[in-house]
Amino acid sequence: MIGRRVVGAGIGLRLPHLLEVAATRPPVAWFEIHPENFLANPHGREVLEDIARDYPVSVHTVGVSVGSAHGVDRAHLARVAEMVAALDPDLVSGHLAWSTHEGDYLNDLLPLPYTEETLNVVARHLDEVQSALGRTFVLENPSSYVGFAGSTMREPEFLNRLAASSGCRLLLDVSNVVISAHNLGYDPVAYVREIDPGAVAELHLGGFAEEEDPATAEQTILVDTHGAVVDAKSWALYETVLEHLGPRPTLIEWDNDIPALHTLMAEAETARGHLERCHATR
Amino acid sequence: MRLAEVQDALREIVTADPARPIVSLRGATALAGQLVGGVRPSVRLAVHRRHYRASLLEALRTKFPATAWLVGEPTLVAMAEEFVQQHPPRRPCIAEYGDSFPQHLAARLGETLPYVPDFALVEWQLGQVSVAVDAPPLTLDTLSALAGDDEVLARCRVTVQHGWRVLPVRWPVERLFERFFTGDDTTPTEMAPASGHLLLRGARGEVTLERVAPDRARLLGALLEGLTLAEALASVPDETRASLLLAELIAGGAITALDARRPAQDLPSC
Repeated sequence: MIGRRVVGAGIGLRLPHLLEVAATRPPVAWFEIHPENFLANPHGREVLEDIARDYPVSVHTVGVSVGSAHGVDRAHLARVAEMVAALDPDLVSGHLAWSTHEGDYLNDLLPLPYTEETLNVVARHLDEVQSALGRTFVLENPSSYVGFAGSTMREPEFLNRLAASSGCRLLLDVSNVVISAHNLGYDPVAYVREIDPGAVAELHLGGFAEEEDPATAEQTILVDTHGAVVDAKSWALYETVLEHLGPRPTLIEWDNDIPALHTLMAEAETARGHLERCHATR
Repeated sequence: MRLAEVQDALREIVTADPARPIVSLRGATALAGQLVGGVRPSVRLAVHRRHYRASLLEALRTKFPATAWLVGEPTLVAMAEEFVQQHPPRRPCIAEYGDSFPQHLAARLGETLPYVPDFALVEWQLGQVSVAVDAPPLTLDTLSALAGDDEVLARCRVTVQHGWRVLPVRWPVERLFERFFTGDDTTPTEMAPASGHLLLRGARGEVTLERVAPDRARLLGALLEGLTLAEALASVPDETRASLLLAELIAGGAITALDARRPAQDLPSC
C-alpha cells in the first residue's frame, strides 16, 4: 500500500505477472518494480497504482546512471521522480554502475574503477538524484566480470564511503557478491563483513548461470542472468549476511525466463524462513 | 586513465559490430593493462556486449511480432541486428526503443516488399495504443450547446482519446493484420496499392483498426493535431457532412475534453 514499509521477503513484480497480481492479490509481503517498465505504459501504471494501494512497494531504477562520467540523464531522472512522487514507495534504489555515455544508453550495468575520481563523481550524482527524488537513494553493489588495476580501494570500502559522504543507504545484493567474488577471486564472507551494517537498507537475491570463462582456459565465470532459482551459494552467504547485519527486507529478483508467480513466491518463502530464524536468534 | 576515457573505451567495446573480436577494438587497446579478471580480462566484456545486443533484439522482436510473421523471423532478426548497430538507444526506457525501426525497414525492404514499412508502422502504433488508458468520453449534449456559436467554435479545442491514432497508409495492410490476428497463414492476400487512412483505437490491452473515409480521417486528424473545432470542421468541404462526422466521433467516444479558453500558443500537442 502506498507509503507503507517494506518488511520481510518480497518479489520483483514484472509485467508478465501484473494482471495476475492485480486480480488475485497473492500473499506477498511487498513488491519491487522497475519504473522503466511503466514510464511508457499508462495501462501498466494504472494497474500498478491499484496494486500499490494494497502492498508496500519499492522502486528500483535500472536507468539512473550514477556512475556516468558525463552526468546522469536528467530527463530520465525527472520521469522517475514523478513516478516516485505518485507511488510514495518505502525505498528507491539503483546501481553502483553506469549505462549512459554522451547520449547513448547501453542497456547494461557497466563496471567502475574504484578511485577517488569515481567516488567524487558518484557522490555528486547521488546528491543530484537524492535532491530530485526528495529522499534517500539506496545503492546496490554490482555483479562484476572485470575489475580495474587502477582501483585504489575495495568495493565495500567504496560503498561505505559513499554512504557516509552522501547519506545514501546500501542495497546488498547477496548473489552479486557471490558472482563478483567468484569472477574476481576474493572472499565473499570478508566482503560482507567489511560492509557497514548500519548503512544497509535492503538485500537482493537472484539467480545466476555458470559459464566457461572466455578469459581463462578451464575456468568458469558466473553470469548475473536473473533467470534461475537462487543458488545454494547465495543462500549460504545470505545466512552470513543476516548474522552480520540482522534481518533486512529481502527481494527475490527474476527478470529473464520469468516463471509462474508461485515459483517466485516459493523463493520468497525460503527467504522468509531465513529471516524468521534470524529474528529468533537475536 | 580518467573515468571518461574508461567509459569511452567500454562503450566502443559494448556497441561494436559483434563480428569484430574484442581484442581488435581500439577500446581494448586503450584498456590494456587496466583490467583484471582472468588471463585475458578484456574478453570477459563479451558478457556485457552479449547482454546489450540480446536485450535490444528481444525488445524489437517483442514489439514487432506481426512484422516477424510477415517477413519471416530470420529477416526480422537480420533487420533488427542492423538497426541495433546503426541506432543505439538514446533513452533509458527500452519500451520506447524501436520507434524508427519501420523507417529502417522502409530503407532496407521498401523496394522488394513495399507494404512492409506501412505494416510495421501500424504495428508500432498498435503497441502504443494498446497500453493507453481511455477517459470518460464527452456526450453529444456537452457539445450541442456550442452549436451555432461561431466565436466559441473558433476558440474551442478538444482532447481526443489517448489511444486513438489516424495513420496514412499506401497499402491495404489492415487485411494482413486481419490474417495475423486470426492466425490465418493459408489465405493469400493480393497486395495492390490502396492509399488511405487507418483508424487505430486501443485501451487497456485491446486494439482495433479499420480503414476510414478520407473526410473522417481529415477531421479526426485535425482534432488530434490540436486545431480548433472551427478549423477542424473546415477541413471537410461539406459543412453538413462535417457536422455529421463530428457528431459520429463524439457518439463513438472519441472526445474526452474540450477547452474554449486556451490560447493556441499554450496548447500541448494532442
